[in-house]
Amino acid sequence: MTEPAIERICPRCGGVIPAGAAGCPRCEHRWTAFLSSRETVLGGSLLVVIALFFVTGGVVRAYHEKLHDLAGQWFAAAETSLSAGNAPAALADLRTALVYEPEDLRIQFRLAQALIAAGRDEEARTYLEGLLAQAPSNAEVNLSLAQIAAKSGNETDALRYYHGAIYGVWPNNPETNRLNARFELCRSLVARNEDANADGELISLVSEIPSKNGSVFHEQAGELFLRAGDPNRALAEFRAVLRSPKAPVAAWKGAGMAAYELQYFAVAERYLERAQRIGKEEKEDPEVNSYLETSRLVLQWDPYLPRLKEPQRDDRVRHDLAQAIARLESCAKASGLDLAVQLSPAGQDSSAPRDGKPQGSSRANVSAPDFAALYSQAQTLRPQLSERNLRRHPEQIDAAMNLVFTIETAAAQKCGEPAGLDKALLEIQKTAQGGER
Amino acid sequence: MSEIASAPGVPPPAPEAQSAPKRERSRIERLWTVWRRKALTLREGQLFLLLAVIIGLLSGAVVVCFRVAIDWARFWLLGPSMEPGIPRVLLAPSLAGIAVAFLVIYAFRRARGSGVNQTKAAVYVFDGHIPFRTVIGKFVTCALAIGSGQSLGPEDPSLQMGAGIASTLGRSLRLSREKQRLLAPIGAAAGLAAAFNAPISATIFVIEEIIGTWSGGVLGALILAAISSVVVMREFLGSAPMFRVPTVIFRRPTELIGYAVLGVISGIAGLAFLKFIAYFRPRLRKLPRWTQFAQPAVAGLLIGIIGIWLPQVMGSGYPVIDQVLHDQFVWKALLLLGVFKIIATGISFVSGTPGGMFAPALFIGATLGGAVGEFEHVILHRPVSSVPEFALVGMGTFFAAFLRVPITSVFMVVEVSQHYTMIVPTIVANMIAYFISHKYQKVPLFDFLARQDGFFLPSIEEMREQTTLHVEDAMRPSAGIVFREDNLKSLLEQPEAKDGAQVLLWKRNGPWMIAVREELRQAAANGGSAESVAAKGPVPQLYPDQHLDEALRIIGDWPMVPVVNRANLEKVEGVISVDDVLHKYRS
Repeated sequence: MTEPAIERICPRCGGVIPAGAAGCPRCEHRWTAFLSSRETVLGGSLLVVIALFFVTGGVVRAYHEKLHDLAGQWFAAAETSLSAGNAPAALADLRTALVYEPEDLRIQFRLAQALIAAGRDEEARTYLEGLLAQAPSNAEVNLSLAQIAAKSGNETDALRYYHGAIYGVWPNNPETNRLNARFELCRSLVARNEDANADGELISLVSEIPSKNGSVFHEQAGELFLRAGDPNRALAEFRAVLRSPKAPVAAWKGAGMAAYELQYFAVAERYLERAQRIGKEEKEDPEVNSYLETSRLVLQWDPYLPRLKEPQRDDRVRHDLAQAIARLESCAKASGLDLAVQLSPAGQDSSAPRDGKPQGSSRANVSAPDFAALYSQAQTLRPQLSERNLRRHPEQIDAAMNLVFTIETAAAQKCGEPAGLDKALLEIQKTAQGGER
Repeated sequence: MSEIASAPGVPPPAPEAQSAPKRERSRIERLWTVWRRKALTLREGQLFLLLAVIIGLLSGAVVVCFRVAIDWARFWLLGPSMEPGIPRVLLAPSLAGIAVAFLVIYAFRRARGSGVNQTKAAVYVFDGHIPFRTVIGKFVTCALAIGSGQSLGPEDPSLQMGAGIASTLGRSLRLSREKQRLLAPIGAAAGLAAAFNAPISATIFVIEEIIGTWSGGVLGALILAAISSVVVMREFLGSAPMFRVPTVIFRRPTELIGYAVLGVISGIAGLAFLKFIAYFRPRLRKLPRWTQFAQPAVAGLLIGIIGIWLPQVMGSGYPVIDQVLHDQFVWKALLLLGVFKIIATGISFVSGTPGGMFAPALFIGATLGGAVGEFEHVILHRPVSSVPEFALVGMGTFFAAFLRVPITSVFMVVEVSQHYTMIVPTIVANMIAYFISHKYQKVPLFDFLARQDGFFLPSIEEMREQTTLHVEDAMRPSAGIVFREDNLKSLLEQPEAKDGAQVLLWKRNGPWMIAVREELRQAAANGGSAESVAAKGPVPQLYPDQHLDEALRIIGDWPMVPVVNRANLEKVEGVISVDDVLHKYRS
């Protein structure tokens, strides 16, 4: 092999190959050849990759810690703003927190809550739907979506999301939170006058109330049963609360109202008196006073109460009729009707029954001639209610009371809701027509 | 080694003089050499794929560090608040602009600009050579510029950094020039994929904008590199997509009208942005040298002034895109953000501040799209807001109009939303926007940037639009030229030809041959067979769908070549010669 007599450039390393040399001394040097071989470069590259991964890992760890800290700081600031009722500031802080921890469900959820607090339900819904897509069983998200849907009147979605909240996963206190979600669903149903659905939900709800420390839930269930038109179950729930030694006023009041709705006026009086007595220590409740007064008046003037002596009953009938006439007169006066003129022979209603019995106990619309007819009937009947006559004709008691009820109903329709004894008389009417005591 | 040992003037040591450890060492070396050759030596193709993976891993890690560096710079310069105080907003981009200008002028000259056209120039002009210094320069200057609030993005620099890493590795391995040219786009795909968290879009972008052709070998390496880098990026920064796209729905076909309107608006906006850059960039570069130091700082100050009222336009703007996708702005605010982002990005870019255009393009597209969606919702009283849908489509639409990469823009929307729901509106809007931009701005962004820098690079868009000539376009009829061996008598029916005229002869079950017409005619007249005629062959055959340049190579020195049907090799569609090809090219 003959070596060229001129210098050449090494095609591999670009160095000069001296004249006469067969190969590049640099490339052919053992270590250079080793270091510049492809295998070595590839191996070295892999080592660089490994080293770079370690460096990157360290850098990223520090970076994530920084982001986490920043997110925490902004989240804390948002919490402060939210507790101060400053929803716009909280929103800005939460959005900044979210920039640093975009995947943090806690921040996203809080942002959605802040949006709801700021009245931006549509935006909140978008966020919450995104969250729900990530965690479909998240009960908190379902509950918030249910609240938005209920607020916007989307009943189907509200029901779906409430059920999602009830059967979903709660991060803590699952039993309590589930009960609260059920209560919220029931409140929403009651607010929409879906009493039957609400009653159904409530019945399944009460079975889940824990036996220990369940008073608060029993009280809420009682209130909702009462609003859903199920006073029987409401009374049972309030009674469950009243078993505890320190039952709250609301429970006594609720029990009283449930008993009142059931026309257990004696029981209602007892509960409401207790509520009034306890309530006086705090603040007087006009509702309790009203219900209590009516209950007492019912008990005082109801002629159908059992174990009443005859003179006592006759006395109540006469008193009730007198009250009804007075109510008729005041209502007529308020409406600008002159019952005295109406009573003149020309103005007397020819349709008035001769036996003095009223023709109907309730009418939808009461016009002036009806008022006059009722007044005329009452005036005709009044002298017939002597003790002697009533003993001879006991059916006159029902006739008189039916007239009382008709007058009170007519007056309520014409002049609005009554108070005092007039209200009690309407309650007595319900009892009498219900036929149960 | 043995040659060196036996070189003249160096007497070989006597065997008895060699010590036992030395003998042992040479035995180990021999064993290592043999094992290395057998086990470690890779074929070129295998090496290329392995390199693609290594490039992907390295690019992924570097891009992760780059993104972290940008955020650190932002914390340091602008503070952690999304709405920094006025002094910071004014000072940070201005002072960082001065620092960046000095670094670019004195230390990293090639770090200037977006990075895409520089990578393309490297591929077509410098044999894929991108100095590693450029990678460092890009990393430092872009982190500083974007972190300080300049309205630029990290994707294009990531692309260039990936290409730089690949180029450095290729040089270290002393790969051939052709391979080194291919490595730069592979690195570019890896860098972009990691920055975008979207390997498919990144791969398509590199093909659509840098390489221009779909080659099987390169495609495999591109995908490998892109996926490797995305895996690394997700390992370190999490697998969450770039934007938290809410559930998007394409409700009814009539919505396409709204998307068409969005296409028109994005097309006009993209065109305006292109014209802004095309007009101001060369003029600013012609200004005296001392102004080059001040331009990024002045740009920073102007952006800071905008940032006092609209801090959202500062930086890459990813958090704002996220907010737009979640319907957190009214349409007037969105429109304002879109317009001012165009101004801010234009100012940043034409001042020579290094940084990318991808993120700003997405920002502008999202805000314009969101504005159209919100406008439709509020003004036309649509029952449901379509802001997320319009913002998402708007991102792709503006991308198509501004960067002129229509295929990438569609795939990007799909990859970012991780859903195919919006593909029809995206295609409709993108086509309209692309058409408007193309109609009124013939040269795409990266091509005119390269031309302004003095490089006349091949325009991929022009390449796409060029028609390819096929054999069927140049061939002529075969009648009177092609004869079968078993039907030579038909030659007698032909008129006599001048001396030396040649014909193609097809031998049964044999190849095509070239024969002299008169010799063949005489043989036929004498009742002889084709065997008695001296014929040259075998002549290659062509098919009608083959490209003309390929045909030119195959025809070689043959006076003519038959063009046969692919389904029936006996059926001759025509003949073609070099003259036919040249005639077609000339016409």
